[in-house]
Amino acid sequence: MVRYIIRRVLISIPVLLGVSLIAFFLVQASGDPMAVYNANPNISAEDLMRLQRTYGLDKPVHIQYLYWLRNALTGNWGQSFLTHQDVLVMIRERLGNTLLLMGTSFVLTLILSTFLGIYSATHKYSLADYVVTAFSFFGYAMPSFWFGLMLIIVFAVRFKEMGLPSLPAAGMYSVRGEHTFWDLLLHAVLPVTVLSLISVARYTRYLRSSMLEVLGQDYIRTARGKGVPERLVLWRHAFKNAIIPLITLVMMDIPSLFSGALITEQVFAWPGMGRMYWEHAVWVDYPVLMGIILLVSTLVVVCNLLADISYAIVDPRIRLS
Amino acid sequence: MAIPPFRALARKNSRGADRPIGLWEQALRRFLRHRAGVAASIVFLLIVAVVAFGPTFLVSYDAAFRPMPLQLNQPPSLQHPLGTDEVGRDILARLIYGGRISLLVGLLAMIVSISLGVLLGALSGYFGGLVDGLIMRLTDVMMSVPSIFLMIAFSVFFGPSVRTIILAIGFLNWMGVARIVRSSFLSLKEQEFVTAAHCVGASNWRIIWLHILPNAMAPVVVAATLTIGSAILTETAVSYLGMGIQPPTPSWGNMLKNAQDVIWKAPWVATFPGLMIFITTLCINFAGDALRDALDPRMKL
Repeated sequence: MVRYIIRRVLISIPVLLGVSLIAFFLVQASGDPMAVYNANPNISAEDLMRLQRTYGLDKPVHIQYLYWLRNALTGNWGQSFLTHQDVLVMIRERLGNTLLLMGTSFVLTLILSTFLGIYSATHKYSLADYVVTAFSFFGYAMPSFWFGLMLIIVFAVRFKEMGLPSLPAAGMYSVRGEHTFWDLLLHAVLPVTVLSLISVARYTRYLRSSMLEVLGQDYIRTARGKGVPERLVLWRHAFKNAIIPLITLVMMDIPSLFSGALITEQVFAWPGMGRMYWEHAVWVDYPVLMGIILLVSTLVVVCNLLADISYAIVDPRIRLS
Repeated sequence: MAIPPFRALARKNSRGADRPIGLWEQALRRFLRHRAGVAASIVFLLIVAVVAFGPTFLVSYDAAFRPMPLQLNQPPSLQHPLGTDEVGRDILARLIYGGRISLLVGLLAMIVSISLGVLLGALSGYFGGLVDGLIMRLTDVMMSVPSIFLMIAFSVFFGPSVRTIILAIGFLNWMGVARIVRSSFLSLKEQEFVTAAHCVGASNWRIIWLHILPNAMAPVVVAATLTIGSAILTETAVSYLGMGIQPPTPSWGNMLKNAQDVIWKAPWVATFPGLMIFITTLCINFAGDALRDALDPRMKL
């Protein structure tokens, strides 16, 4: 087990190097980070040249990549061309906001889809099952940004028009007023709903089919036959086996959670990391972009490893080698 | 859905004996029994037809493209069945022109990503060894980055044109198919018919494309169908972010971009393009699901 983990960690190093290589060439070559200064009359052509030399922008791309890599490995992730803040500081400010959204919706997703999935599997072909199945199809096909816009129309615009208590449409806190937890909660309701819907749809569908498969097994019939109460059959015998394939799914979904977060943050003007990426992408502010991409990819790689390890823990039949 | 026994599907030939039928014909008949799948396909074809022939019969180019300052943000009416947008263009007309772009991007991006996935997956599974190692590491790398990040970089890099968006979606979504094809190839290449082909002197190239690939196509066809849906979702999301299809060319995604600014005055601007995306992907997913049931009910995809 330990040897397996060490080997996997070693394998993930070239993977992350590959990510940084592809990302750097794509991001860095996509424009001129100095374009910010072009419109500034106070900066002459010589100043621009000097700036370019300072940042190493006059060197070929592969040399710049090596510089960037050396600095990144020694913990210096550079400064933003736009704000001149340290990239790590900027990310730390935003990461919490993103994780707040993602974490909440993740927990909510797991709870909701567990109950929906099990209910519709134990009540196969009932009305409720059809409703749940239809819902999961809808969630699959739903463009998240449009769902967000519709929620805004109903709960922010229409409710306000009708004089009902409405939800805020954008931001993390009200512009005026104190930063209270209640205020934060109100602002988080709509984005968390959007982020959860699609994952709930996916997991419910998978859990349902996985539960149905397990419930058809011989050991379930045996358990019932020897008089184990139905509640225990469901939770102890069936559920535990049914979630095994879901572990991979959950971990594979981490990248899409980040993608979803980028779009959802944009819809609701949530000051998270995805929105920061979007804001800095147009300006080719590559230290920031690289920082975000590498951080997210590292999280993804770590989650994949965790998935495989927890796979082996919950299912002793699986041997890691 | 219960799978009808083989005999029930067989048809009599001219001499009154059972005529054996192939995988694809069997699949087609099973598909036709899947009512939801058939209905979804019909709706999808209807959308394609309206989008393709709408400009000839239903709406004018002017209504979709010329700004009309006197009729900004008008609610749905007889003259503008779905209302007008923030510069006074007819939303129905823009939906039809935008649908052409969105559907085209979905279809072409699917072709790019499936071709790449099949090619890389086939090479990886067939040759194994170093080739396999390299391709699979590349797959790992590509799967570790949320594609939306690279999409945005791609679009800034090449400039956001229709062609860029098609290639970007195609290049960033081949990994799933590559893995499926690779695993089919791994098991198929050990089969006797492949050994037989080797023995009669068939080249690797011939074996890959003519002997193995046709047997590995079923999951690819399902994946291709579902990929059209996800490609449409990706295009519209990126266009919504302003990094995709650029105005004045309409797409279902970029029609939503400015909708948020007028959401208090004119909620219909935001409503209809999204509804079209939703219905279209829903139909594609239903059809893909029916197709999977028809081809192989045990297929995990």
